[in-house]
Amino acid sequence: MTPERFEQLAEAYGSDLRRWPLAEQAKAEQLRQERPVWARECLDSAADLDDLLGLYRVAAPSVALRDRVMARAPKLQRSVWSRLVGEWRGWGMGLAAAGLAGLMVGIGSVSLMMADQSADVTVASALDGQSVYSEAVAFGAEEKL
Amino acid sequence: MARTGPLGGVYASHFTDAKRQPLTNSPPDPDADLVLRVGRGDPAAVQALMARKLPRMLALARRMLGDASEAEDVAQEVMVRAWRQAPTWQPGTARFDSWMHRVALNLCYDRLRRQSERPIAEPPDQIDPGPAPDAGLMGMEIKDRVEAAIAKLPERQREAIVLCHYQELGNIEAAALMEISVEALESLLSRGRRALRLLLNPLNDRRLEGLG
Repeated sequence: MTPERFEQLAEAYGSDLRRWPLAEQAKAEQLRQERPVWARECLDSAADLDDLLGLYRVAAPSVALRDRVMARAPKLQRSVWSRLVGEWRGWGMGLAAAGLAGLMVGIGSVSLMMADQSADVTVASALDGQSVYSEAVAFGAEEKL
Repeated sequence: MARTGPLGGVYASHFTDAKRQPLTNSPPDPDADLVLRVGRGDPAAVQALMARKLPRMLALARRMLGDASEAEDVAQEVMVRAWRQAPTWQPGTARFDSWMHRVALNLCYDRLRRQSERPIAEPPDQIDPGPAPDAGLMGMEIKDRVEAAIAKLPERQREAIVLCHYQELGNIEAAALMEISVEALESLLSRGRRALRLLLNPLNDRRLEGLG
């Protein structure tokens, strides 16, 4: 590598040889070792500008920006575990609903049965009362007789 | 001519039409797996890609446009397009990072074009008694002066410096993004750095005095 090319590269890419074209880095490093004082002067000039450029930092994205970006992100796929939990939750809800429905039907049936039974008892009691009354009437009649 | 950047990657030789042409003799795209997972809707990958790329796109747009609000709009749009692109992205073609840079640069240039097309306000009747532009630059904090100096560069010189110095792209990748030769890129970089040195020269003197 010629000193002119070394200067051109420093002028274009700055003082850090790692930023220089890969194919020319080894030759540049060799020249730097061969002519350390000259190379140092050449690179120092570029380093001053590099330092200044390094002062221009951009703040990290704000939370609001990140939220806006996430709001437009692809619809998130649930993990296997959360899917299983979701499915079991679905099954559980179904079973619970079925159980509740069964319970309601059961309670309803029992209520109906109880209602029937109490009606029967009432009717029977009524019938029994009627017979007692009949018997009493009959007994009274007998007394009168 | 390929090279590694400070972050260690060897860069691809071409970006133009890279989505259709497989990269040869280049290492795998470091974002390929992540993009694949984003395409499948993996929430962790979505978060990871945003953490990796959003600051990078924001920095690119901020330095290209010089406006924080517009830079946020551009960075958001690039990420939204990345979400849309991920399901159909084919690993082994262009680097996803290069594709995102291409999108971001296009959006930046759209905005710069619109800025230049805006009607200029009527010229003032009186000469502005305020400080001259250079004097204004001198009255600012050092980092603000650097920012202002970069904003003063011609667009292509600014783009070259932003891509190579700040985004740490390789010369070939940057040249491909700008659709110019590596030699033309070097010329833009040299001219840009010379202009910056002139704009910031008093700073250099002062800093050197301070160091001495």
